[in-house]
Amino acid sequence: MANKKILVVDDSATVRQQVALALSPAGFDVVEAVDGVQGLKAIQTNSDLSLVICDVNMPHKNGIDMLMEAKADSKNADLPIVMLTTEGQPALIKKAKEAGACGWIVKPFKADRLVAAAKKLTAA
Amino acid sequence: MTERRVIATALQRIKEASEISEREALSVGQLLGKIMEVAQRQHASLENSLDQFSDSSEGSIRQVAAAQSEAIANYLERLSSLINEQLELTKLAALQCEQISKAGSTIEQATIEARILSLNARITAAQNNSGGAAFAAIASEMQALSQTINQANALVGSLATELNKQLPLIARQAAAMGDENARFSGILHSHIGRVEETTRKLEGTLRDTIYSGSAHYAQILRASQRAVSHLQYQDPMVQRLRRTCLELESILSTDTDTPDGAHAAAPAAAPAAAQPPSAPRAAEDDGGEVIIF
Repeated sequence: MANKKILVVDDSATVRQQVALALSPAGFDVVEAVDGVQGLKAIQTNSDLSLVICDVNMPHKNGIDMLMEAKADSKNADLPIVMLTTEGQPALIKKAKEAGACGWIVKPFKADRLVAAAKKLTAA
Repeated sequence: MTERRVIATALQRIKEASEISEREALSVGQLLGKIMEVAQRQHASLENSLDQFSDSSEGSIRQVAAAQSEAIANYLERLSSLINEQLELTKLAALQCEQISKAGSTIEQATIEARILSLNARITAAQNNSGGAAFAAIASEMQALSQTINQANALVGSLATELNKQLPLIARQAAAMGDENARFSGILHSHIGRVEETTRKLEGTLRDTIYSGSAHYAQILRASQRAVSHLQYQDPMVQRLRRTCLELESILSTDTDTPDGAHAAAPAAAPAAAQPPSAPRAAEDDGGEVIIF
């Protein structure tokens, strides 16, 4: 059985690397994008994505905007997108939830919690 | 001007520090990734080795030793059975020799009787002068027959005697082979027992070693993952440094220096600095909250 593919969208190379380090040993394939613009392109070109993990504060296009644009496309209605950010304002969390995000993870994340969340969200 | 130079230098230093920090964090991450990859591979390999030591595995040391022991035990049993059969056959041969000897006595008795009949025929032939020729012929034939039987009987008797002498020797040799087989079997069983015991100990030691190695690699994996969690400290720190850079750049971009070096007005704060980020938490604290909607 092929590994499930997860897209990580974050402008920080270290965060992308750390997410990959947490998820790869758990059997996930990780693809990366550096901002919301590239993230949307990656969602279009990778039709086999099981999950998107997305930062909020990014240059060019932030995570919330990327989330809303991705969800505006009916093809991505069932694609789970979870936000991974240092932000924790309830208003922002509510906005992401209303835009179609399925979760919110606060940085710095614990590897085992991230893996558990990824497994849960890709279990279908 | 001095203040501007200080700010510009600080800005440059902060950018350098930020770049170094990111580069080094990536290097540490790469190394951690390699450590985790090796640890995971070794862990999987040791788990596989453990499976091979399981009792149900065909290739387990215990299974191989048990199969060898069973094969040797079966061979010794077959050998012992063959030796017993040989002993029985020797006893049967001795019995048959005894019967041949008895038959020889009977034949000997019969030849004595034949000789007496031959003598009687000769006497009868002498008493009947002309008519006794037929009796004389019978007497002669009977004597010849008696001699032939006697010679054959003597030969059979001699062979039976010789066989009778050999049979106890054969029986003794078979018994000695049986004893030797039994002794060897005892030694072999003792050795097999020791081999099985040693194998059990070896298997136990190997199992413990593999368990321990497997546990160590699992610890390395967990520690590496924790290290990755701690490494995340770098990102919020860099973000704070970037915000500081934006603030400093904002100060530099304003041309409001007064002669005494004080700012006439507060510099326009960088948008990102308007709300200073909260202090980064350690990954092992309560951070890493996960909310699934």
